[in-house]
Amino acid sequence: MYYAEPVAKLIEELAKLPGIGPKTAQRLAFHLLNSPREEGVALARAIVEAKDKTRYCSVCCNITEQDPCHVCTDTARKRGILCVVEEPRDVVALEKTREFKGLYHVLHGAISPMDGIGPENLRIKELLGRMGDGTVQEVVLATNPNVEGEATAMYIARLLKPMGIKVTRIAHGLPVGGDLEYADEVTLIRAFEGRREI
Amino acid sequence: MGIYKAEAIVLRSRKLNEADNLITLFSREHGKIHAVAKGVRKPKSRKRGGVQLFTHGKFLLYAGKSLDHITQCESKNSFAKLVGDLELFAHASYLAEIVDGLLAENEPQEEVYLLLLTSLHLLEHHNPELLARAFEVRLANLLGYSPQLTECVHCGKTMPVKQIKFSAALGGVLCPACWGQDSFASRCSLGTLGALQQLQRMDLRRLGVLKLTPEIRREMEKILRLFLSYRLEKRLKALDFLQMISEARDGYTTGSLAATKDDVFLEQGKEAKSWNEDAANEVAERQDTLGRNVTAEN
Repeated sequence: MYYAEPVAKLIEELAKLPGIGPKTAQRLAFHLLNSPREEGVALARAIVEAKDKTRYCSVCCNITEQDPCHVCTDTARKRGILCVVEEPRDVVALEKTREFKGLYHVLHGAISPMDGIGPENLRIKELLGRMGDGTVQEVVLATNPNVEGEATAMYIARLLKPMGIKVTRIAHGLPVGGDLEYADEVTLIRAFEGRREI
Repeated sequence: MGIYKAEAIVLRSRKLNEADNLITLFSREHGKIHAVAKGVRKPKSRKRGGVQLFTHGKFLLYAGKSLDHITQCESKNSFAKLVGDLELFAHASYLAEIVDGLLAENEPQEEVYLLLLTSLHLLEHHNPELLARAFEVRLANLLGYSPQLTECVHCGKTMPVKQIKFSAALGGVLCPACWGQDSFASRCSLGTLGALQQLQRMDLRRLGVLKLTPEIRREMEKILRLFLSYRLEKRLKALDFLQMISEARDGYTTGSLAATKDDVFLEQGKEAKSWNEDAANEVAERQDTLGRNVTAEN
């Protein structure tokens, strides 16, 4: 036994976090031990609160403190347009742009046949449920531009199109600060297709 | 090995850490390789395009202590059409999963590599279902599991005879006298036998000339799927999705499109799942009874 029992326990728990190895866990543990008691308590409380006080929004399936979440209840937002994303983190990324004023729907994943993740494992049923009353006129599919994301987008489009809803896919193109030379051909083709006059 | 080059197809891609992916490559020179592609989930990554699923390209790798790393890659063909169509995507996933499941790491299998590459190319033009059957037969041939189709697998009687059954467990056809060898052997019509023999030797590019009735196709699918699940000894995950997509497509053609509103896709998903579970149970059951037969004989 190299450490006192509580310290060993702390290191063990910290090492379970993603990207934290035994050495980093040790460093974090000793940092916490040397910091004032309040800091440690605040951290512990924050973790417990985040776990206990959050749940999935019954409307958009995003992680929220109140149900329905603050985006879904915001009367200033447009009700006619819905943006479908894979993860709650994607909502944050899109919100940062302050461009999109509609509502969201979080799928919590993407279709990946080889990992056994099919449409029934995603929040697609909930999405279809939101289409019932006819307020939603357009659905923007903002799943990731990789193979799984494309398949998910196509699958959802196939479900929604027959219902008479306008289904759009976010554009593909070159990232800001990217190099044309290193862009793959699919991105270049799509970027070319989506060119516009300036 | 230090730094080495490989021409390869991306079989599988899994998330690793914040922005890395763990890629399963199937290379011409070195067989199946697991390699880390660092930072490919960042928008500015230069490797991102080359490590997308099913991409065929050239890779530069270096051998790490446990895992290899992809340092450069250049895609030759990203099979955009496969990713752009749900049915093709489901079939391509299925092919990739079989290859991933049947091959061991670092064992060069150039013929299998060429078979997969050809099949991915042909998927874009041919009936994906038929191509999948041809792929299954050919892959079994190349890996030494070739199903016995010209004579009875038990007594050696030359085919064709009138009533034939196919035993997935014994790996071939049975003449009526030997049916008792595997009580679970499934029916195999003469048309199906002929089609299977055709697939074993015909040029894959000419698959389009093969005209098969729906019954033959269903029989072949059942026979080959059971046959492969015996060799794989596990359930293929991509099958659930494949089954669902093809059932949804059949739904389209029979005009039940209007029903999509009522979660018909999700319902079919459940059915597909139970079908697959049934098949898995069937396999388990058969293996059980076979085991018993063997012990009884002893």
